Amino acid sequence: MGLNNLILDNSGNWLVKGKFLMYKKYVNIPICFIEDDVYYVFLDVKLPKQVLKLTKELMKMNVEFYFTTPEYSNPKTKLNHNLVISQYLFAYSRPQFFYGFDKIGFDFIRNFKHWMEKEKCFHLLKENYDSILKKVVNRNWYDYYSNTHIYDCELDIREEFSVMYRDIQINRII
Amino acid sequence: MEDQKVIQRITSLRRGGWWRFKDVNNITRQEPMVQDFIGSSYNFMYKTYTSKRSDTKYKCKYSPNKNSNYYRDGDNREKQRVVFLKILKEYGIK
Repeated sequence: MGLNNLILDNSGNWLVKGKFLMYKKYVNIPICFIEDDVYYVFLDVKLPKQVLKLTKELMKMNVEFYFTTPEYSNPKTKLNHNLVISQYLFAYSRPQFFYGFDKIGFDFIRNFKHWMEKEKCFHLLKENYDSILKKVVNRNWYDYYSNTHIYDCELDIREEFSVMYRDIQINRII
Repeated sequence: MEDQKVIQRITSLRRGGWWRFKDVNNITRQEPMVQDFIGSSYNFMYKTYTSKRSDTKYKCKYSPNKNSNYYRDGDNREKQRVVFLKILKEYGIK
């Protein structure tokens, strides 16, 4: 078990430097690290394909892993669960991850729930969920030419997000 | 080479502390670095296909036919199209 096992191809873009596994896209960007035998993947919208590949590999390895915000790659960032929760929700509202996780058969909401259980921060969910729902998912503008509201997110994502909070609560009970 | 060009262009965007930039992860950066611009509109705008090699030195990012401001001499598709439409109108086809 180690980060060297997670180098997925021989392209030369993957690199282990310090405690991070990095991927080179113009510059080396941290993508994964291990802390207390738990894998943490940076849920970075800059590298959606690589994050999905890594998730698939971790699923195959059958190890405990969670996602986290790319801000934690900077050592001066202080630990804040609000950042991680909002990153979980924000990244899931992006079509690359929304359809990508579905394609590889990964239960994202379950993983999210497990992380919140581990960190005991369920009480922070509602506030972040409402914020993301309002500012990101339901963000729209009125098109006077066609007399319709144009949304930034697709209908599938909006429908999923409208019941997401309830799904997490149900997952918690089960 | 292509990467170097893009990095060079993005690096020129780095300004002082007053300029706040929101990256693709919805995180506000006070002093954005090269990696913060990846995936943003700037990144796509500054992509290039040119290199120092002779075969791609003068390569255009977009087709010249797409750009109306692009000045070109001689016979080209736009001029030929105008002539063709005139002929069609003469014969009453369009």
